[in-house]
Amino acid sequence: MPMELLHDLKVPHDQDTRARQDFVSTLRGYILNDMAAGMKSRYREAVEPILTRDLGRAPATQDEVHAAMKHDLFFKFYSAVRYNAQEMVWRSVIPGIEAALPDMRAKAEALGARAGGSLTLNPELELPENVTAVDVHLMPGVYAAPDTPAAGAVYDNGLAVFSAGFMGRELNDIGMSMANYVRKRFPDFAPADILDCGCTVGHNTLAWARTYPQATVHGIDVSSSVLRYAHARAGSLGIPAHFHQMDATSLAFPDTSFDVVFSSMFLHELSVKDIKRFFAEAYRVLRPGGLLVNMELPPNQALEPYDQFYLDWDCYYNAEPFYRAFRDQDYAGLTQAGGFAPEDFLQFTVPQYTYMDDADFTDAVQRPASIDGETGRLSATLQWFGFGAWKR
Amino acid sequence: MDQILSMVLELAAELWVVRERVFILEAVLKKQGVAAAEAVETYVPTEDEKAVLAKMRAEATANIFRTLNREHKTVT
Repeated sequence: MPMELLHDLKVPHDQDTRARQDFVSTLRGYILNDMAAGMKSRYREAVEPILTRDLGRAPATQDEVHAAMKHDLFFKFYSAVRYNAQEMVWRSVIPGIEAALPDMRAKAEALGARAGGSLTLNPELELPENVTAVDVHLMPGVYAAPDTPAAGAVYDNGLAVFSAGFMGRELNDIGMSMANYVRKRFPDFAPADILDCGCTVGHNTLAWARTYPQATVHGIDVSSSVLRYAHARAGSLGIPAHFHQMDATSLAFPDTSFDVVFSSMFLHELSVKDIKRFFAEAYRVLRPGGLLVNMELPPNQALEPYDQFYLDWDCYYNAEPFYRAFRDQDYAGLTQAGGFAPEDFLQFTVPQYTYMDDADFTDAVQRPASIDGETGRLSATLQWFGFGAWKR
Repeated sequence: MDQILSMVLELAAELWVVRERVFILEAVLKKQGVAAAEAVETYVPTEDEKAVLAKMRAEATANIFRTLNREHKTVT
Protein backbone atom coordinates (compact mmCIF):
# COMPACT_ATOMS: atom_id res chain seq x y z
CA MET A 1 0.00 0.00 0.00
CA PRO A 2 1.61 3.31 -0.95
CA MET A 3 1.65 6.17 1.52
CA GLU A 4 -1.78 7.76 1.75
CA LEU A 5 -1.91 11.55 1.82
CA LEU A 6 -3.27 12.89 5.10
CA HIS A 7 -5.66 15.55 3.89
CA ASP A 8 -9.02 15.81 2.10
CA LEU A 9 -7.56 16.41 -1.35
CA LYS A 10 -6.20 12.88 -1.45
CA VAL A 11 -7.03 11.05 -4.66
CA PRO A 12 -8.48 7.53 -4.57
CA HIS A 13 -6.22 5.19 -6.57
CA ASP A 14 -7.40 1.71 -7.55
CA GLN A 15 -5.59 -1.47 -6.52
CA ASP A 16 -3.60 -1.83 -9.73
CA THR A 17 -2.44 1.80 -9.46
CA ARG A 18 -1.52 1.37 -5.81
CA ALA A 19 0.53 -1.70 -6.68
CA ARG A 20 2.20 0.20 -9.50
CA GLN A 21 3.05 3.10 -7.14
CA ASP A 22 4.51 0.64 -4.64
CA PHE A 23 6.61 -0.88 -7.39
CA VAL A 24 7.93 2.53 -8.45
CA SER A 25 8.75 3.52 -4.86
CA THR A 26 10.63 0.27 -4.30
CA LEU A 27 12.44 0.76 -7.61
CA ARG A 28 13.45 4.31 -6.57
CA GLY A 29 14.83 2.99 -3.29
CA TYR A 30 16.80 0.33 -5.16
CA ILE A 31 18.24 2.85 -7.62
CA LEU A 32 19.28 5.37 -4.99
CA ASN A 33 20.78 2.86 -2.59
CA ASP A 34 21.79 -0.43 -4.20
CA MET A 35 22.49 0.77 -7.75
CA ALA A 36 24.20 3.94 -6.54
CA ALA A 37 26.50 1.93 -4.28
CA GLY A 38 27.15 -0.60 -7.03
CA MET A 39 27.95 2.14 -9.50
CA LYS A 40 30.37 3.83 -7.11
CA SER A 41 32.25 0.62 -6.50
CA ARG A 42 32.22 -0.06 -10.24
CA TYR A 43 33.81 3.38 -10.72
CA ARG A 44 36.46 2.80 -8.08
CA GLU A 45 37.38 -0.71 -9.22
CA ALA A 46 37.01 -0.62 -12.98
CA VAL A 47 36.63 2.91 -14.36
CA GLU A 48 38.86 5.09 -12.19
CA PRO A 49 42.03 3.01 -12.71
CA ILE A 50 41.74 3.23 -16.49
CA LEU A 51 40.84 6.93 -16.37
CA THR A 52 43.82 7.63 -14.10
CA ARG A 53 46.09 5.72 -16.47
CA ASP A 54 44.78 7.65 -19.51
CA LEU A 55 44.97 11.06 -17.84
CA GLY A 56 48.34 10.38 -16.25
CA ARG A 57 46.87 11.58 -12.95
CA ALA A 58 43.79 11.19 -10.77
CA PRO A 59 40.61 12.65 -12.27
CA ALA A 60 40.20 16.25 -11.11
CA THR A 61 36.78 17.28 -12.42
CA GLN A 62 33.30 15.79 -12.62
CA ASP A 63 33.47 16.24 -16.40
CA GLU A 64 36.37 13.79 -16.60
CA VAL A 65 34.44 11.30 -14.47
CA HIS A 66 31.25 11.80 -16.49
CA ALA A 67 33.04 11.37 -19.84
CA ALA A 68 34.44 8.04 -18.67
CA MET A 69 31.25 6.81 -16.99
CA LYS A 70 29.09 7.65 -20.01
CA HIS A 71 30.53 4.63 -21.83
CA ASP A 72 30.16 2.28 -18.90
CA LEU A 73 27.33 -0.23 -19.01
CA PHE A 74 26.55 0.12 -15.32
CA PHE A 75 26.10 3.89 -15.65
CA LYS A 76 23.94 3.45 -18.73
CA PHE A 77 21.66 1.11 -16.83
CA TYR A 78 21.61 3.32 -13.72
CA SER A 79 20.78 6.37 -15.77
CA ALA A 80 18.15 4.70 -17.97
CA VAL A 81 16.45 3.00 -15.03
CA ARG A 82 16.46 6.21 -12.98
CA TYR A 83 15.06 8.23 -15.88
CA ASN A 84 12.35 5.62 -16.45
CA ALA A 85 11.52 5.55 -12.75
CA GLN A 86 11.06 9.33 -12.84
CA GLU A 87 8.56 9.08 -15.68
CA MET A 88 6.88 6.15 -13.95
CA VAL A 89 6.36 8.28 -10.82
CA TRP A 90 4.25 10.82 -12.71
CA ARG A 91 2.49 8.20 -14.79
CA SER A 92 1.48 6.29 -11.67
CA VAL A 93 -0.45 9.26 -10.26
CA ILE A 94 -1.80 11.20 -13.24
CA PRO A 95 -4.69 8.92 -14.32
CA GLY A 96 -6.17 8.90 -10.78
CA ILE A 97 -5.79 12.67 -10.54
CA GLU A 98 -7.48 13.24 -13.89
CA ALA A 99 -10.45 11.18 -12.72
CA ALA A 100 -10.61 13.00 -9.37
CA LEU A 101 -10.06 16.52 -10.72
CA PRO A 102 -13.68 17.71 -11.05
CA ASP A 103 -14.34 16.71 -7.43
CA MET A 104 -11.06 18.28 -6.32
CA ARG A 105 -11.84 21.59 -8.02
CA ALA A 106 -15.25 21.66 -6.34
CA LYS A 107 -13.75 20.98 -2.90
CA ALA A 108 -10.68 23.20 -3.11
CA GLU A 109 -12.24 26.56 -2.39
CA ALA A 110 -14.29 25.35 0.58
CA LEU A 111 -11.29 23.56 2.08
CA GLY A 112 -9.11 26.63 1.66
CA ALA A 113 -11.52 28.74 3.68
CA ARG A 114 -11.31 26.45 6.71
CA ALA A 115 -8.15 27.51 8.55
CA GLY A 116 -7.93 31.30 8.37
CA GLY A 117 -5.23 31.37 5.69
CA SER A 118 -5.45 33.16 2.36
CA LEU A 119 -4.77 32.82 -1.34
CA THR A 120 -3.80 35.83 -3.44
CA LEU A 121 -3.37 35.13 -7.13
CA ASN A 122 -1.92 37.48 -9.72
CA PRO A 123 -3.18 36.67 -13.22
CA GLU A 124 -0.89 39.39 -14.59
CA LEU A 125 2.24 37.59 -13.44
CA GLU A 126 4.26 36.40 -16.38
CA LEU A 127 5.52 32.88 -15.82
CA PRO A 128 9.30 32.79 -16.02
CA GLU A 129 10.93 30.74 -18.73
CA ASN A 130 12.60 28.34 -16.33
CA VAL A 131 9.10 27.00 -15.56
CA THR A 132 7.50 27.17 -19.02
CA ALA A 133 10.34 26.10 -21.30
CA VAL A 134 11.05 22.70 -19.78
CA ASP A 135 9.07 19.95 -18.05
CA VAL A 136 11.03 20.46 -14.84
CA HIS A 137 12.02 17.11 -13.25
CA LEU A 138 10.08 15.50 -16.08
CA MET A 139 6.78 16.51 -14.48
CA PRO A 140 4.32 16.97 -17.36
CA GLY A 141 3.88 20.69 -18.03
CA VAL A 142 1.03 21.71 -15.76
CA TYR A 143 2.82 24.30 -13.62
CA ALA A 144 1.42 26.75 -16.16
CA ALA A 145 -2.24 25.65 -15.93
CA PRO A 146 -4.06 28.60 -14.34
CA ASP A 147 -7.53 27.52 -13.26
CA THR A 148 -7.05 24.13 -11.67
CA PRO A 149 -5.23 22.65 -8.68
CA ALA A 150 -3.94 19.89 -10.99
CA ALA A 151 -0.25 20.77 -10.79
CA GLY A 152 -0.39 20.69 -7.02
CA ALA A 153 -2.08 17.30 -7.06
CA VAL A 154 0.51 15.88 -9.47
CA TYR A 155 3.34 17.20 -7.31
CA ASP A 156 1.83 16.06 -3.99
CA ASN A 157 0.84 12.58 -5.17
CA GLY A 158 4.03 12.24 -7.19
CA LEU A 159 6.25 13.24 -4.27
CA ALA A 160 4.58 10.60 -2.10
CA VAL A 161 5.72 7.95 -4.60
CA PHE A 162 9.08 9.61 -5.37
CA SER A 163 10.14 9.95 -1.75
CA ALA A 164 9.39 6.28 -1.01
CA GLY A 165 8.51 7.14 2.57
CA PHE A 166 11.72 9.10 3.26
CA MET A 167 10.10 12.49 3.71
CA GLY A 168 7.47 11.82 6.34
CA ARG A 169 3.69 11.37 6.18
CA GLU A 170 3.15 15.04 5.29
CA LEU A 171 6.11 15.08 2.88
CA ASN A 172 7.53 17.81 5.09
CA ASP A 173 10.66 16.35 6.64
CA ILE A 174 12.84 18.92 4.89
CA GLY A 175 10.83 21.80 6.35
CA MET A 176 10.57 20.18 9.78
CA SER A 177 14.30 19.42 9.90
CA MET A 178 15.35 22.88 8.71
CA ALA A 179 12.89 24.79 10.92
CA ASN A 180 13.75 22.72 13.98
CA TYR A 181 17.45 23.14 13.27
CA VAL A 182 16.93 26.88 13.50
CA ARG A 183 14.75 26.57 16.59
CA LYS A 184 17.25 24.36 18.43
CA ARG A 185 20.43 26.05 17.26
CA PHE A 186 19.19 29.60 17.84
CA PRO A 187 16.76 29.27 20.76
CA ASP A 188 16.53 33.04 21.30
CA PHE A 189 15.39 33.64 17.71
CA ALA A 190 11.63 34.22 17.63
CA PRO A 191 10.53 34.94 14.07
CA ALA A 192 7.16 36.65 13.74
CA ASP A 193 6.86 36.51 9.94
CA ILE A 194 8.18 33.69 7.77
CA LEU A 195 8.30 33.43 3.97
CA ASP A 196 8.72 30.20 1.98
CA CYS A 197 9.78 30.88 -1.62
CA GLY A 198 8.94 28.42 -4.39
CA CYS A 199 6.59 26.79 -1.87
CA THR A 200 4.78 24.51 -4.38
CA VAL A 201 2.09 22.70 -2.35
CA GLY A 202 3.07 24.27 0.97
CA HIS A 203 4.34 21.04 2.48
CA ASN A 204 7.41 22.76 3.94
CA THR A 205 5.61 26.09 4.49
CA LEU A 206 3.34 24.45 7.04
CA ALA A 207 6.35 22.84 8.74
CA TRP A 208 7.51 26.35 9.70
CA ALA A 209 4.01 27.12 10.99
CA ARG A 210 4.11 23.97 13.13
CA THR A 211 7.58 24.79 14.46
CA TYR A 212 6.88 28.47 15.18
CA PRO A 213 3.15 28.49 16.00
CA GLN A 214 3.29 32.18 17.02
CA ALA A 215 4.54 33.24 13.59
CA THR A 216 2.56 34.29 10.53
CA VAL A 217 3.62 32.12 7.64
CA HIS A 218 3.55 32.96 3.92
CA GLY A 219 4.34 30.91 0.85
CA ILE A 220 4.94 32.15 -2.68
CA ASP A 221 5.16 30.44 -6.05
CA VAL A 222 4.78 31.53 -9.67
CA SER A 223 2.20 28.78 -10.37
CA SER A 224 -1.43 29.55 -9.50
CA SER A 225 -2.20 25.84 -9.90
CA VAL A 226 0.08 24.68 -7.10
CA LEU A 227 -1.04 27.58 -4.91
CA ARG A 228 -4.73 26.69 -5.28
CA TYR A 229 -3.84 23.22 -4.12
CA ALA A 230 -1.57 24.51 -1.33
CA HIS A 231 -4.32 26.74 0.06
CA ALA A 232 -6.87 23.92 0.06
CA ARG A 233 -4.35 21.50 1.54
CA ALA A 234 -3.47 23.88 4.38
CA GLY A 235 -7.14 24.44 5.08
CA SER A 236 -7.74 20.71 5.21
CA LEU A 237 -4.85 20.28 7.65
CA GLY A 238 -6.17 23.17 9.75
CA ILE A 239 -3.02 25.31 9.54
CA PRO A 240 -3.30 28.99 8.59
CA ALA A 241 -0.84 30.09 5.91
CA HIS A 242 -0.98 32.86 3.34
CA PHE A 243 -0.22 31.89 -0.22
CA HIS A 244 0.67 34.44 -2.89
CA GLN A 245 1.38 34.12 -6.59
CA MET A 246 4.70 35.90 -6.88
CA ASP A 247 8.11 35.59 -8.49
CA ALA A 248 10.87 35.28 -5.86
CA THR A 249 13.15 37.48 -7.95
CA SER A 250 10.70 40.36 -7.64
CA LEU A 251 8.77 40.14 -4.38
CA ALA A 252 5.70 42.35 -3.97
CA PHE A 253 6.38 42.75 -0.25
CA PRO A 254 7.64 45.95 1.37
CA ASP A 255 11.16 46.16 2.80
CA THR A 256 11.75 44.54 6.19
CA SER A 257 8.58 42.41 6.15
CA PHE A 258 10.02 39.08 7.33
CA ASP A 259 12.22 37.45 9.91
CA VAL A 260 12.86 34.29 7.90
CA VAL A 261 13.10 33.78 4.15
CA PHE A 262 13.26 30.07 3.37
CA SER A 263 13.51 27.92 0.28
CA SER A 264 13.77 24.18 -0.26
CA MET A 265 14.96 22.43 -3.43
CA PHE A 266 14.24 25.70 -5.21
CA LEU A 267 17.55 27.37 -6.06
CA HIS A 268 18.49 24.71 -8.62
CA GLU A 269 15.41 25.69 -10.64
CA LEU A 270 16.87 29.17 -11.20
CA SER A 271 19.72 30.58 -13.25
CA VAL A 272 22.62 31.90 -11.18
CA LYS A 273 21.56 35.41 -12.17
CA ASP A 274 18.07 34.77 -10.79
CA ILE A 275 19.45 33.25 -7.57
CA LYS A 276 21.36 36.47 -6.97
CA ARG A 277 18.21 38.49 -7.68
CA PHE A 278 16.27 36.30 -5.26
CA PHE A 279 18.93 36.71 -2.56
CA ALA A 280 18.89 40.48 -3.06
CA GLU A 281 15.10 40.42 -2.63
CA ALA A 282 15.47 38.23 0.44
CA TYR A 283 17.90 40.76 1.91
CA ARG A 284 15.50 43.59 1.17
CA VAL A 285 12.44 41.99 2.77
CA LEU A 286 14.28 40.66 5.82
CA ARG A 287 14.31 42.67 8.99
CA PRO A 288 17.65 43.22 10.75
CA GLY A 289 18.31 40.08 12.79
CA GLY A 290 16.45 38.00 10.21
CA LEU A 291 17.62 34.84 8.50
CA LEU A 292 17.82 33.62 4.91
CA VAL A 293 17.99 29.83 4.91
CA ASN A 294 17.87 27.45 1.93
CA MET A 295 17.81 23.69 1.73
CA GLU A 296 19.66 22.32 -1.28
CA LEU A 297 22.27 19.84 -2.39
CA PRO A 298 25.78 20.71 -1.17
CA PRO A 299 28.21 22.68 -3.34
CA ASN A 300 30.50 20.87 -5.73
CA GLN A 301 33.58 22.44 -4.17
CA ALA A 302 32.94 20.40 -0.99
CA LEU A 303 32.89 17.09 -2.86
CA GLU A 304 35.19 14.68 -4.69
CA PRO A 305 34.81 14.63 -8.49
CA TYR A 306 32.82 11.36 -8.45
CA ASP A 307 30.33 12.69 -5.90
CA GLN A 308 29.96 15.95 -7.83
CA PHE A 309 29.17 13.90 -10.94
CA TYR A 310 26.75 11.71 -9.00
CA LEU A 311 24.75 14.60 -7.54
CA ASP A 312 24.60 16.55 -10.80
CA TRP A 313 22.86 13.68 -12.61
CA ASP A 314 19.58 15.60 -12.55
CA CYS A 315 21.17 18.45 -14.48
CA TYR A 316 22.01 16.25 -17.45
CA TYR A 317 19.33 13.59 -17.35
CA ASN A 318 16.31 14.84 -15.38
CA ALA A 319 15.39 18.15 -17.03
CA GLU A 320 16.98 20.30 -14.33
CA PRO A 321 19.24 22.35 -16.59
CA PHE A 322 20.32 24.92 -14.00
CA TYR A 323 21.57 22.47 -11.40
CA ARG A 324 25.26 22.28 -12.27
CA ALA A 325 25.79 26.02 -12.66
CA PHE A 326 24.25 26.57 -9.24
CA ARG A 327 26.25 23.83 -7.52
CA ASP A 328 29.48 25.09 -9.07
CA GLN A 329 28.98 28.39 -7.23
CA ASP A 330 30.61 29.45 -4.02
CA TYR A 331 27.46 29.57 -1.90
CA ALA A 332 28.86 32.21 0.47
CA GLY A 333 29.58 34.36 -2.58
CA LEU A 334 25.96 34.01 -3.67
CA THR A 335 24.69 35.37 -0.36
CA GLN A 336 27.20 38.24 -0.58
CA ALA A 337 25.90 39.04 -4.06
CA GLY A 338 22.53 39.51 -2.37
CA GLY A 339 23.98 42.00 0.11
CA PHE A 340 24.67 39.73 3.09
CA ALA A 341 27.98 40.18 4.91
CA PRO A 342 30.59 37.40 4.59
CA GLU A 343 30.78 36.88 8.35
CA ASP A 344 27.03 36.25 8.52
CA PHE A 345 27.10 33.23 6.17
CA LEU A 346 26.05 29.92 7.64
CA GLN A 347 25.91 26.38 6.39
CA PHE A 348 24.95 23.19 8.15
CA THR A 349 23.87 19.60 7.79
CA VAL A 350 20.98 18.24 9.78
CA PRO A 351 19.54 14.73 10.17
CA GLN A 352 15.89 13.90 9.71
CA TYR A 353 13.74 15.48 12.40
CA THR A 354 10.77 13.24 11.59
CA TYR A 355 12.64 10.03 12.38
CA MET A 356 14.84 11.03 15.28
CA ASP A 357 14.09 11.46 18.90
CA ASP A 358 14.28 14.97 20.22
CA ALA A 359 17.39 14.51 22.36
CA ASP A 360 19.42 12.98 19.51
CA PHE A 361 18.26 15.71 17.15
CA THR A 362 19.20 18.43 19.64
CA ASP A 363 22.71 16.91 19.95
CA ALA A 364 23.11 16.59 16.20
CA VAL A 365 22.22 20.24 15.69
CA GLN A 366 25.25 21.42 17.68
CA ARG A 367 27.73 19.69 15.38
CA PRO A 368 29.41 21.55 12.52
CA ALA A 369 28.39 20.84 8.93
CA SER A 370 29.60 17.49 7.68
CA ILE A 371 29.41 17.20 3.93
CA ASP A 372 30.21 14.04 2.03
CA GLY A 373 28.99 12.01 -0.91
CA GLU A 374 25.88 10.93 1.00
CA THR A 375 24.66 14.44 1.93
CA GLY A 376 21.22 15.28 0.60
CA ARG A 377 20.63 11.81 -0.79
CA LEU A 378 17.48 9.84 0.02
CA SER A 379 18.96 6.99 2.01
CA ALA A 380 18.93 5.45 5.44
CA THR A 381 21.60 7.91 6.68
CA LEU A 382 20.04 11.01 5.24
CA GLN A 383 21.34 14.44 6.18
CA TRP A 384 19.87 17.59 4.66
CA PHE A 385 22.21 20.44 3.72
CA GLY A 386 21.25 24.04 4.38
CA PHE A 387 22.92 27.38 3.88
CA GLY A 388 22.12 31.06 4.06
CA ALA A 389 22.95 34.18 6.00
CA TRP A 390 21.79 36.46 8.79
CA LYS A 391 20.91 40.04 8.02
CA ARG A 392 22.60 42.06 10.73
CA MET B 1 19.20 -4.48 -28.82
CA ASP B 2 16.78 -6.04 -31.33
CA GLN B 3 16.93 -9.36 -29.55
CA ILE B 4 16.27 -7.72 -26.19
CA LEU B 5 13.28 -5.94 -27.72
CA SER B 6 11.84 -9.26 -28.89
CA MET B 7 12.35 -10.70 -25.43
CA VAL B 8 10.67 -7.66 -23.79
CA LEU B 9 7.68 -7.99 -26.12
CA GLU B 10 7.32 -11.69 -25.35
CA LEU B 11 7.47 -10.82 -21.63
CA ALA B 12 4.77 -8.18 -22.13
CA ALA B 13 2.60 -10.77 -23.85
CA GLU B 14 3.13 -13.29 -21.04
CA LEU B 15 2.26 -10.66 -18.45
CA TRP B 16 -0.92 -9.80 -20.36
CA VAL B 17 -1.87 -13.47 -20.34
CA VAL B 18 -1.66 -13.49 -16.54
CA ARG B 19 -3.61 -10.24 -16.18
CA GLU B 20 -6.39 -11.44 -18.43
CA ARG B 21 -6.60 -14.67 -16.46
CA VAL B 22 -6.94 -12.70 -13.17
CA PHE B 23 -9.69 -10.63 -14.75
CA ILE B 24 -11.57 -13.72 -15.87
CA LEU B 25 -11.00 -15.40 -12.51
CA GLU B 26 -12.60 -12.44 -10.73
CA ALA B 27 -15.51 -12.51 -13.18
CA VAL B 28 -16.00 -16.28 -12.72
CA LEU B 29 -15.93 -15.89 -8.92
CA LYS B 30 -18.51 -13.13 -9.11
CA LYS B 31 -20.83 -15.40 -11.10
CA GLN B 32 -20.43 -17.93 -8.34
CA GLY B 33 -21.38 -15.35 -5.73
CA VAL B 34 -17.91 -14.32 -4.53
CA ALA B 35 -17.21 -10.60 -4.96
CA ALA B 36 -13.47 -11.17 -5.32
CA ALA B 37 -12.66 -8.09 -7.42
CA GLU B 38 -14.32 -5.75 -4.93
CA ALA B 39 -12.67 -7.55 -2.02
CA VAL B 40 -9.24 -7.12 -3.62
CA GLU B 41 -9.94 -3.51 -4.50
CA THR B 42 -10.86 -2.58 -0.95
CA TYR B 43 -8.44 -4.89 0.86
CA VAL B 44 -6.40 -3.15 3.53
CA PRO B 45 -3.28 -5.19 4.27
CA THR B 46 -2.26 -5.62 7.88
CA GLU B 47 1.09 -4.18 8.96
CA ASP B 48 2.57 -7.70 8.79
CA GLU B 49 1.22 -8.19 5.27
CA LYS B 50 2.60 -4.79 4.21
CA ALA B 51 6.00 -5.85 5.52
CA VAL B 52 5.83 -9.13 3.65
CA LEU B 53 4.83 -7.34 0.43
CA ALA B 54 7.62 -4.78 0.85
CA LYS B 55 10.17 -7.56 1.34
CA MET B 56 8.89 -9.45 -1.71
CA ARG B 57 9.06 -6.30 -3.82
CA ALA B 58 12.58 -5.46 -2.69
CA GLU B 59 13.78 -9.02 -3.40
CA ALA B 60 12.12 -9.13 -6.82
CA THR B 61 13.66 -5.77 -7.71
CA ALA B 62 17.13 -6.83 -6.62
CA ASN B 63 16.68 -10.03 -8.61
CA ILE B 64 15.91 -8.15 -11.81
CA PHE B 65 19.19 -6.28 -11.55
CA ARG B 66 21.33 -9.02 -10.04
CA THR B 67 23.62 -9.31 -13.06
CA LEU B 68 24.72 -5.71 -12.55
CA ASN B 69 26.06 -6.62 -9.14
CA ARG B 70 28.57 -9.25 -10.14
CA GLU B 71 31.95 -8.71 -8.59
CA HIS B 72 33.89 -6.04 -10.40
CA LYS B 73 37.29 -7.15 -11.55
CA THR B 74 39.98 -4.79 -10.34
CA VAL B 75 42.05 -3.54 -13.25
CA THR B 76 45.75 -4.28 -12.84
